[in-house]
Amino acid sequence: MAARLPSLSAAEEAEILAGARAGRAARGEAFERILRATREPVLAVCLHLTARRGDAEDAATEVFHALHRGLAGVTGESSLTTWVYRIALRASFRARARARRLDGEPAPLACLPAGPRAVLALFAIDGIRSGEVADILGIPEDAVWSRLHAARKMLAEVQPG
Amino acid sequence: MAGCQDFEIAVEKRLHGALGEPEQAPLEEHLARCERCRSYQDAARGAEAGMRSEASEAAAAMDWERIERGIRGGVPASLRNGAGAVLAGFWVAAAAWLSAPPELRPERMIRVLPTAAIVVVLVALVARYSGRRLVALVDRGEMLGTYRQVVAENLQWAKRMQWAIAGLLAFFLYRALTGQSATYDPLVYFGGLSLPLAGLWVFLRHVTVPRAEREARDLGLLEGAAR
Repeated sequence: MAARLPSLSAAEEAEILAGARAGRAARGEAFERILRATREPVLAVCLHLTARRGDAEDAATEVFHALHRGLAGVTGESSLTTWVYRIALRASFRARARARRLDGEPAPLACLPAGPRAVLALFAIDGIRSGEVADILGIPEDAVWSRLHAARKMLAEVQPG
Repeated sequence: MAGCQDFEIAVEKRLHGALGEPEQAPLEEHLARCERCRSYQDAARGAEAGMRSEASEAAAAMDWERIERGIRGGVPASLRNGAGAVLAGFWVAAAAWLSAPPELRPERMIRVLPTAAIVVVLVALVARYSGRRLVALVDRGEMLGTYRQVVAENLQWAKRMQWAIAGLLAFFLYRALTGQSATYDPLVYFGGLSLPLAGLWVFLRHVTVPRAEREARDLGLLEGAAR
C-alpha cells in the first residue's frame, strides 16, 4: 500500500465539498471519500514529520477529526487535498512537540528542523508534483527545488557515515 | 547549467518527473563524469525509497476502521464544549455562594450571576476556537511563516497566563494572611479557588509552556536543539 497522492479531479473535489455542505448522510459519505483518498499519504507525512509511529497515528487521527468537523467550512481557496496536507503538517508539528523526547537513537530525518523535514516528507509522497508542494507550503514553485536540495544536503550532513 | 549544485537540482527534478527533455542529456553527460553528483543521486533515491517503505509499513499496520468508528461515534464536540462551559459557570457561582457568609449569599449570588454567564460564554467560545484552530489559518499564505507566528503568539500567551495566575495566587495569599478572608470558609476559599488556580499554574509551567517552547525550537524560533 504505497503512500500515493490521491488524484482527485477538481470536479470530484467540488462534489465532495457539495456533499459536505448537504445533509448528514451526504456529509458522512463526503468524509468517507476524502478519508479513503488521503489517509495513506497523510499518515506518511505525519510519520516523517513526527519520527515516531505512535505520534504519527495520533497526528493522522487528529487530522481526520479536524476534517470531519471542518469539511463543511472549507472555502475552496486552495484545493481540498492541499488543505488536508496543510492540516497534516500542523498536526504533526504539534504531535512532535507533545512528545517530550524520542526513544533511542533518532532517525537522521528527525534531527532536521521543521522546514526541511516538511519538504522532504512532502516530496516522498509518490506522485506529488512540485506545484502541489508549493501550494501546500504556500511558496513559489521555483523555490521548492532549492529548498528540497538544501534539505537533502542537511540530511546528508546528519546521516551517519 | 553550470555547477554541481544546478545538476543536483536537476537530479531532484528528474527524480520527481519534472526535468524537461532538453535537460536530460546534459545531466546524463555530467553524471557520467561527476562522482559527487552520482552519489547525490544515489543518496536521494535511497532516502526516498526508505521513507516510502517505512510509510507503507505504517499504513499497513494502521487500524483505519477503528479510527473511522471513533470519529463517527464520538460525543459531538459542540456537546462537550457546551457541557464544559456550563460546568465552568457553575464552578464560579458555587465558589461565590459557598465563600460568602450565609446571610450575604442571596445578594452575592445576584451580583455574581452576570459574571458566571460571561464565564459560560467565554469558555464556550475558547473551546470552539480550540477545536477549530487546527483548520484555522491553513489558507493564509506561506504555511510555515504563518505557523511560526501562531506558535510565537501561543508561547507568549501561555507565559503571560502563567504570570497572571501567579499574581492572582499571590493576591489570594495576601488576603488570607492579612485576615481579609476571615468571613470565608477556608476550605472553599483555598479548595475552590486557590488550589484549582495553582493546578492550572503547574499545568502551564510544566506542560503548556515547555510544549510551546519545543514547537518554537523545531520551527527555528528559539535557539537550541529541537529535542
